Amino acid sequence: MAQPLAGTPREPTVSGRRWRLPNSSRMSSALFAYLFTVPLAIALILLNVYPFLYSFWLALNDVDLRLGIFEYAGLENFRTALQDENFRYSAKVTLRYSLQVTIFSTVLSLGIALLLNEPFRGRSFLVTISILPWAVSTYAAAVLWRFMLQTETGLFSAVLYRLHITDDQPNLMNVDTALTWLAVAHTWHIAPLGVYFMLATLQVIPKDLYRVARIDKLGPVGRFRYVTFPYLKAPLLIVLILNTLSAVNVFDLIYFTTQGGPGKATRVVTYEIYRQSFQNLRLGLGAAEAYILTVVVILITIVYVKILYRRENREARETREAAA
Amino acid sequence: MRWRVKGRNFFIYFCAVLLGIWTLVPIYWLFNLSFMFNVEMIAVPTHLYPHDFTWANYQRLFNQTVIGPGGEKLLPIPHGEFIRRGLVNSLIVASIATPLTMAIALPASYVLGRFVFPHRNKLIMAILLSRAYPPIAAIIPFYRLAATFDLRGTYQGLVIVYLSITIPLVVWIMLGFYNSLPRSIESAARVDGCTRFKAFYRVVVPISLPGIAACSVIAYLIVWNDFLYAFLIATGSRALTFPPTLSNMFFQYSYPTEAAAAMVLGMLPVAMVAFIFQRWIRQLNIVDPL
Repeated sequence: MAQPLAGTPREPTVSGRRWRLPNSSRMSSALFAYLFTVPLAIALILLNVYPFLYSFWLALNDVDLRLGIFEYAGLENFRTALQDENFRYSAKVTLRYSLQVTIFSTVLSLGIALLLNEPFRGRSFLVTISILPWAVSTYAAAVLWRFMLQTETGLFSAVLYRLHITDDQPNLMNVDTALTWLAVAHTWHIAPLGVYFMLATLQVIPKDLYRVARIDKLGPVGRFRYVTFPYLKAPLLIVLILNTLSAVNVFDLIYFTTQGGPGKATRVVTYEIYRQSFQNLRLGLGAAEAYILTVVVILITIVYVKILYRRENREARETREAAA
Repeated sequence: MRWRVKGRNFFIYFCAVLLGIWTLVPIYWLFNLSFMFNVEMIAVPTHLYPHDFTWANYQRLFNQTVIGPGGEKLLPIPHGEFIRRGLVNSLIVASIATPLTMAIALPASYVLGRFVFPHRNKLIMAILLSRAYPPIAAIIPFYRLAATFDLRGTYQGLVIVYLSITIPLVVWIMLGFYNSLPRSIESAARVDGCTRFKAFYRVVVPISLPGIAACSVIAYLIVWNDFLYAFLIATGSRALTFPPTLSNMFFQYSYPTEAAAAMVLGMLPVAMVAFIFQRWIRQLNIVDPL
């Protein structure tokens, strides 16, 4: 605040109140901005940064809650984790699972978005209900699909039996199929989000472009390739990021359906971390494994974001933002 | 030409029907099971609709004794008490966490979206990174910290942990929202003699009410729907929220019909909230939530 010039009349004081709230118009805009972000900064440090650092500290220690051990162990946990058969195996399961979920859900979102972009009767009803699978939470989706898939009360096994394809209500969740069924359930749950993102973009593509494409005698495939797809690139990438992260971080879905089984068929990394940390109570090892997962997740995010912000995609991105 | 249009229409309606089935059948199946008696459920092959429709599972969750199809007495479901308490707990925790989230996130997202100041980008980057942090990795330190500070099994402990997920998301969404508001809004207020602070709460907050409402709903839904955090921090306590209560019922003791009824009870409140506020949520610019 500038010093009052000599001779300027003093401001009249308000009825004896000495201290007043600082006047937010006289402070610099940066100071004002800092004041408004202080609560956020404190919350981020306490709730995100501190646990992040604390879990690194845990990972550096040999922690066993059953035996009451808490000893500094250096990088031992990281070495154990990387050499551990179970952890390596679960990494492979997660890789297979994420690939399936990402491919299924992205393709399905794209298909549904293209369908809902066409005019037909009942379209707006379908748009409204198509968000439902996403609106139920992940664990609810898991319970729903467990009820559909289990042997005794499963819809699929009942239908197969009724159609006399099988002699009894079959068990569909065996060692070979369980992971794929879970990927289908996951797809059911997250595909609507991608649909909404892509639909928002599809609806701003100028109709004239399609008319021009028709004049140029482009078929449906050509129209998709040269008109629709350039617009869809950016939302497609964002949907890919979201789907991949959601698949890599899956936990509720596994816990409520198979708990890693049958055998070890669906024991993904997150479940392995859960097992080590909270069933074997080896928090140090669990934290180290979780750190490895975090690094991988952040790397995936960075790769995708790099692609997204590459120069040739920037234009598409700007179109989308203008539309939003 | 004519047959091609017909073919196109047929294809589109065919896909539309498939989409409807794909979306609704899993939800239908849950309701189907929840309206059956246990005796009917064990039929092979499983009935595709309840032949003997009943509210019995719901009534038994609410501590009532029901007369079964064979005239026998069906006692209340013992776990019903926990399910009901879980629903109340979810309501309490979500109702505390949501306003706290908004109080912290709102001013911050306003300045992050509209002011240029040093370290702004670093702060935004920090928010982005905390969104990419896997929940299973975050829960280990929280579990240990909750044990250290004796917050396991308390409402406070749960609320604190939930703030760590709701705040970054809400800031991220509202930042985009404020960024897209026209610049002239506060300058007009400032010309009229408002201080910066007054311009914020007299002009900006009222204008952004739809966004605030939508974000509150999103924060509410996140808290209501979380399983993992509540499961690890509040298991075995009186503060246990609905999802882990359901998982206990699911795995320890219950018939699928009873678990299905409990699941419906947990889904209805959020489904209704999501449905009522759907329009506002769809208007939000959540295109870049990462």
